[in-house]
Amino acid sequence: MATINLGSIKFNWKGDYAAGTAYAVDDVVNSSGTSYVCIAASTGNAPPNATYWNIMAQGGTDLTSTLTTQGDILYRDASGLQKLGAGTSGQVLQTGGSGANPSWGTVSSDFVKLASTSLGSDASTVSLDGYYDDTTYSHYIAEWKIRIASGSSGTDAHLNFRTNTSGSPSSATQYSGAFNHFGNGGGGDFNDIRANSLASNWSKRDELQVSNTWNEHDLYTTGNVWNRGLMKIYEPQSTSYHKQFTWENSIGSNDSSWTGGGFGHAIYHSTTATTGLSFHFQNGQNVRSGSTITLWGVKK
Amino acid sequence: MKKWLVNPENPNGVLVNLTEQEVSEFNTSKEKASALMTQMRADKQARKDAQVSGNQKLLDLGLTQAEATALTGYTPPVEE
Repeated sequence: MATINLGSIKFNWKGDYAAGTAYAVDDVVNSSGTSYVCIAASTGNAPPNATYWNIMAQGGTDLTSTLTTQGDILYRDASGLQKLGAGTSGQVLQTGGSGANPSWGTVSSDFVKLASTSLGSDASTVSLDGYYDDTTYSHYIAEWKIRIASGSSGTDAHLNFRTNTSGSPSSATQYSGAFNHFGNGGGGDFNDIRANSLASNWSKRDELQVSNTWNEHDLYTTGNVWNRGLMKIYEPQSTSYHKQFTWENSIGSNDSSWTGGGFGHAIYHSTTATTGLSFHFQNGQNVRSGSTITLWGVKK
Repeated sequence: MKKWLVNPENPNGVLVNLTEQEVSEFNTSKEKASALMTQMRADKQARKDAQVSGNQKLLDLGLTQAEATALTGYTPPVEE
């Protein structure tokens, strides 16, 4: 009786390729994640030797061996999928553009917070010092949220400013400038322009008044209104220029019956390098615990 | 007297005593400001008094209040 050889009528799965195993045509093995079908019987001729094996199913990249660590991410380079290992905290992903690989980078800001404080207790003066670096920054911005101490007299609670020299507030009679204070209240609208921040003349003074309470008004001794403002300080370390300041602020009364605000400019007439800034209340009352001041540097 | 000082050595802030010089300057500032505010209030009151007086003299000359205001810009406060 004639015999007809049908060959294999199904694939003959042999598992992982083994060098000592004799493989017959149509045997199928796994090698490095790719399946191969035997096309010529042999022993010891490992895939992908094309004389004995054809690819049956191409394996993909093994992501479990590519991505091994928390924070790893996957990208493609010129040849295939690759891992970009976790960068350092705070870094951001940067593209290298078309035809280049991505990478981790650091965000560079031209606006840098140099110091920030919240008063831990009442104090007659608050001072930030030692943060200026004119080689890096062209000017600085001080932001304040200040309130007079609880139980204090708010009468004439004007906020005054001094620039620091050698770590202490300078009381040199070298400040000149003006500010415009305006607002509305029980006595009607008001608009008060002060030369040299307090006196009605142009002689230099030993400090700057950066906010005003309008005459008899008391300032936020019990209410929840703060003196909030911003001041720009230009090249404070210069030994060539006098120091220039501009500012703006907003204030209110203790019963919220009136509000005020203002803006001003001033010069500290000295070529001595300054080191910081200080605030105090003109009437001698303390700055309240919880008041805040932040100093920012703006890069050149 | 205390100062809340923030610097690179004390970035979270520290409460320190004012130096003797700082105390002296602080008190001087307070005294100067008080004197200036007293003067400013006196100046303001004198100006207000002069406005009232001048306005009344214009009215005594026969001007109406509208005419006096047109000349000086001064408007008498309205009694509440």
